[in-house]
Amino acid sequence: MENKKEKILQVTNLEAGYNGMSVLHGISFDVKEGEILAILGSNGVGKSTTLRAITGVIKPISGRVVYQGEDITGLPSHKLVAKGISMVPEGRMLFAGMTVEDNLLMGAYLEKDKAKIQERLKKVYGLFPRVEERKSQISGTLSGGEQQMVAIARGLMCDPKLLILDEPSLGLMPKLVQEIFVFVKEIAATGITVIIVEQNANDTLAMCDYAFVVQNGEVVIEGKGHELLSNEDVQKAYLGG
Amino acid sequence: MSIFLQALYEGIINGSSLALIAMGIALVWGVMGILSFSQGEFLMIAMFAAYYLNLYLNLDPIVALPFCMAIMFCIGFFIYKLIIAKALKGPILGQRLITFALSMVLINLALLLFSGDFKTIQKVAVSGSIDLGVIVVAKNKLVPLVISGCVAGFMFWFLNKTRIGKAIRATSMNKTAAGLVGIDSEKAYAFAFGLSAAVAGAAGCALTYYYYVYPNVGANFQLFGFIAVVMGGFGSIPGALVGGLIMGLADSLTGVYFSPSFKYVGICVAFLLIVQFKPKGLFGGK
Repeated sequence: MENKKEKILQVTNLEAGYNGMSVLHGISFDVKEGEILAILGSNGVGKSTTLRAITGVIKPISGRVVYQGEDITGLPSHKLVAKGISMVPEGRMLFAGMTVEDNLLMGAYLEKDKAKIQERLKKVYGLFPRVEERKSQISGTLSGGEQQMVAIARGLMCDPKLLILDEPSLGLMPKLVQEIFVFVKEIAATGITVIIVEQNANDTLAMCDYAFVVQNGEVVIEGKGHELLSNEDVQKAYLGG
Repeated sequence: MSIFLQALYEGIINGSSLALIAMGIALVWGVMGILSFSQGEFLMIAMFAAYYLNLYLNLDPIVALPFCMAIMFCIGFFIYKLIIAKALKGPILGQRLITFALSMVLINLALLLFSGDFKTIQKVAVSGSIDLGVIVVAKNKLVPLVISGCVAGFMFWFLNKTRIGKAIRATSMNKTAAGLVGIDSEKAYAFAFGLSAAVAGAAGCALTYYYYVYPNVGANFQLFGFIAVVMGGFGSIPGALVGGLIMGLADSLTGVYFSPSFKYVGICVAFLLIVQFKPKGLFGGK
């Protein structure tokens, strides 16, 4: 049944890095529409670099990124937003001096229709009531968990088809991580495709449809979420089990 | 008492022009990390524009103001696209010095085109003075003050309320995140640089009401504008506004109570004192 789903994103032999040093040595994977895809791996293996290369924050050295049949390799991030790709960056990166609501409104920067913006705002507040409670607070003064919610909410304001989350659990206490993951599932249930990069493997595998583990810039293991959860190699190599 | 009030008034007038220069410097630094050494020259170009608009088209500087701002915005926008955008891709030292080189070129270009003579606008629409009893208000100096106030207000309104203004602020807070919500940071930078030039242009245009025009006129405004920015807290636009006013006051108060030849000492003492107690500037900490 899963084979019938359209591929929304195809990454082929992606190579990228910083200052001429490549961190990714040719990563390939597909993302199917409507699923939650998890990219796992420990620190510094190239998870975030993969996302940055896809979303145009850094320019890939080689390889191809195809989104809905269109080659988007190396397009700057502001052009991808218009196509429906939204990334919530690692470390949240809110506009710290602005209020929560202004942050969300900036998220809908490309939308000029005010009625549509209000509609999205209402939808996002419906999903995150805590964010609405804090809407007139300066975003830099929020707690880490609240900031993460605002960051995800801001990422949803451009009405994306593909939402990319870079380590949303980073620096949050376990209870909040669970809460964030519940939101991620709710978002996926509305039909948005989600790519999530995580170090928090057990929780992520339990939630995602498909996952792969990255080591030294390459995909080493891949499979369905619940399968990897019981895979001995993953447990040994990665989950410390 | 009346001497004090008179000095206060003159100080605020001088300070208001400095404040506009300083606000432009603060904006450009806050948004793209470029030290704008050419702000004084933008002021100078606008002064020449106002002068020639007056000479040939008989436009009063008040009427010429929107034109001067528009011209300076375009100049700033294209300078960003032609020069600054490329410097931003290069090493940090180049970024620091590029506007310095630009200011040299602009000053000498002005010398070549307009000669080094001092020029003044002969007849302005608002002149004379009002004797308020305690102080005498020169009307031609009141005009730049009112204009500076309006332009400062315009700048705050632009940055906080308009779409592109918000994009500029967002880019200054986090460039990556701004890109991820769909803001073209190149465009935001170009607009910010254009805006800073337009604001300097407004200051220059207004100054022609009582100040003479010559190619090097920007140098002092540039230097004190910078000190005002540091005083206010680097990158803070309200800080730059307050810093500029303090500089103007220090200037005129030292002139009145000590001697006009000591006014630079007065300015620098005020600066050193503030930095002693608030090393990051009055509104610092960004």
